[in-house]
Amino acid sequence: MASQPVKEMFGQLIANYSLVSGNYELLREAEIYLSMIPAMLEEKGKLQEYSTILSDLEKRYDSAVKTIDDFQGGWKVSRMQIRHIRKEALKIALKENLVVLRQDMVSLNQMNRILDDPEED
Amino acid sequence: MPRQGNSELIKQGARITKELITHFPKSGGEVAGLWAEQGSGKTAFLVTVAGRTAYFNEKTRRLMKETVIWRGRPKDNWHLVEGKKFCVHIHFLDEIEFLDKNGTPITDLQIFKYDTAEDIIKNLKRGWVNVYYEPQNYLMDEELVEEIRKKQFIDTFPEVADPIFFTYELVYYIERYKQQDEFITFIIDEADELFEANPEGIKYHLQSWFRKTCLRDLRKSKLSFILASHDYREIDYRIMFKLMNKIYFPSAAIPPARYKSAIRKKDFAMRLKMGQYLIEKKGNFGIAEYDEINTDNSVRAVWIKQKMKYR
Repeated sequence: MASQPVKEMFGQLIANYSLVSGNYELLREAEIYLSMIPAMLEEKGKLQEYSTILSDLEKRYDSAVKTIDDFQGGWKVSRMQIRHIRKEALKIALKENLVVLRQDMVSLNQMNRILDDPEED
Repeated sequence: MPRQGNSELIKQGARITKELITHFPKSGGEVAGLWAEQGSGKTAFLVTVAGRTAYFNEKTRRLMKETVIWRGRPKDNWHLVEGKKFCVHIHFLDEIEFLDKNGTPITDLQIFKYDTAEDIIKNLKRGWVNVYYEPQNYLMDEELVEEIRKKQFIDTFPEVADPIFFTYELVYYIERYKQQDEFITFIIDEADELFEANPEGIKYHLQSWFRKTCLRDLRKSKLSFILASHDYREIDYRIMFKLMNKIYFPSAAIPPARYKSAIRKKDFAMRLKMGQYLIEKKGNFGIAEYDEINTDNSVRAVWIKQKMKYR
């Protein structure tokens, strides 16, 4: 089972790429999904269950790599493939509880709530 | 594009905030400056911090309520502090009436009268919020005047000083006479009155002396300082370099790198929502939040002389 810090780290990696628009950056994002999700699923013992979807995503990633530099329009197809990878990978990650996408902000009011009184020493 | 994910910002925000309000003998005190536009929750934050500041007692191995010294202003919100009792220190020649929101006098206040800063130190309530009001007619302590004259190479010194400099005297004597292991937090709202940018005349010398004599050793003396103002440009640049923590509220301006700010995106504070703040310390920064408080419910301090004048 993936620990909470690993889930948070995965969420943070994805968050870093949430605003990117470059082709190569999108490829890197897909690489994160395709390296982390199978590893985490294997740890959970559920890799077999998703093997077909994951091998499809791998194929899409390979074709995206091939056509990303094709300025005749191939790069557009690549981006569509990557978007598909993002959608499917996120679906698995959320369904299997592999990622923490948002962490609640810590409130100052939660800190130092129980304190001793020095006047009562 | 933010290279730092939100969860990292949240973690750092919580860590730096915890360090700001929890003091350990090894780490000492903290000096913080906070900047917020009018009405963006500065006073509410100060009220929350005043109630949460704590120090680690090595004997009992527990977190104890830290003594807070709050600079009182004519319209203030110190009575909203939760978790700590409060008392008020006023000069023996001043007669002040404290009125609530509806103009009714507040009678159940514990008030101590003082003549000199040393009287405040004697009457200081440990673990409480000690609010002090500066004397209306302020004659600076002779010993202190002599010290400032020597250090700043000045011949003349005004007989009657601006009351705001009483805070300098108080900090100076607290640093000298407080118990070695005692932690105290000073909360100073509208700090630009005390540490004005581009000061003139004697004020220049006083601010310079305060920086050299008192601010330099605050951390080691286990004194913490939280200075609040509207903009960093209102604060004396010499003081800016002494700030260990910088706190920005929504839409506050972030100082340039020469003021030791590691935040490169200067519009970062613009993205904050109400109740959130950006906190920076030693090249790390993060975000955290606090509960909003209705600060409309303020205490009004009315000096009796003034009251007679306006009746």
